[in-house]
Amino acid sequence: MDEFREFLEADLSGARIDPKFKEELRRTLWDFVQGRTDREAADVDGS
Amino acid sequence: MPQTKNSARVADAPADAALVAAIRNAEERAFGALYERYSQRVYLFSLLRLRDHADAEEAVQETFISVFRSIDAYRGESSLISWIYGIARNTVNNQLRRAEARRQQLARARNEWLRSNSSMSPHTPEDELNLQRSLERARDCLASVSDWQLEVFALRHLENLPIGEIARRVSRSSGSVRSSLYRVKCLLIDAVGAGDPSREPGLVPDGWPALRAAAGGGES
Repeated sequence: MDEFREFLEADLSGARIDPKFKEELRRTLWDFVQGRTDREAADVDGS
Repeated sequence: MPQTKNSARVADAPADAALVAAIRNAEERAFGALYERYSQRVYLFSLLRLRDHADAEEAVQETFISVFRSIDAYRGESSLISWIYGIARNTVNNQLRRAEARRQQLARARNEWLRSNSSMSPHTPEDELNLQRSLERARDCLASVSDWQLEVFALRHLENLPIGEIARRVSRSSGSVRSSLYRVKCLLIDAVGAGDPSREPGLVPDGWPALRAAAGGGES
């Protein structure tokens, strides 16, 4: 429970995630999400 | 569920379900909303436990890849924040376990190296004392190096892997691997005074080539 409370309150701390890393990861993850959806759509069309 | 300052509502089942449904439909706004809402929190949670920015960034990446890979598995039985917290906690715990395993492997390798180099037999009590001091400094030096740098050093000098393979295994660039190897070598050389033998009277010549080889082995 203490760990979960730390997780909930983590954004109150001063340290910030590196903006460059955050943006690069965002792009990578979005490509992944889009690619996942495209693959699922292709599976449906092919079935 | 308690609410926290500066955070969105902690548990709101209809909003969570709608957000997840939109992400499953690859709606970018929903994807961005989830990422913005939790990336900072996952990062700080990881940093508190891992105490290293690079390791925390790796944990963030692994966590969100797991989140989006298994988004279909989210059934709404717990709040979205609880679900993401569970993934983040497991990711961090796995990293801590891997780091501990690497530390133990390195400790075993270090002990084995020290045993096999007992041919560095001191000739006098003063020689033995100097040797012990050098080894302690080397151990202290290695204790100050981060886990991934220790792993890189072990892969290079104990397992003789090429730079490219090491970079692949630790998910870093070849440049980062080379920089790290150079840094650890310099730290070790400084620690045992290998650059200036006159500072270490009694450092047995038999051990010198082995130490120099370990610190300055050629890189491909």
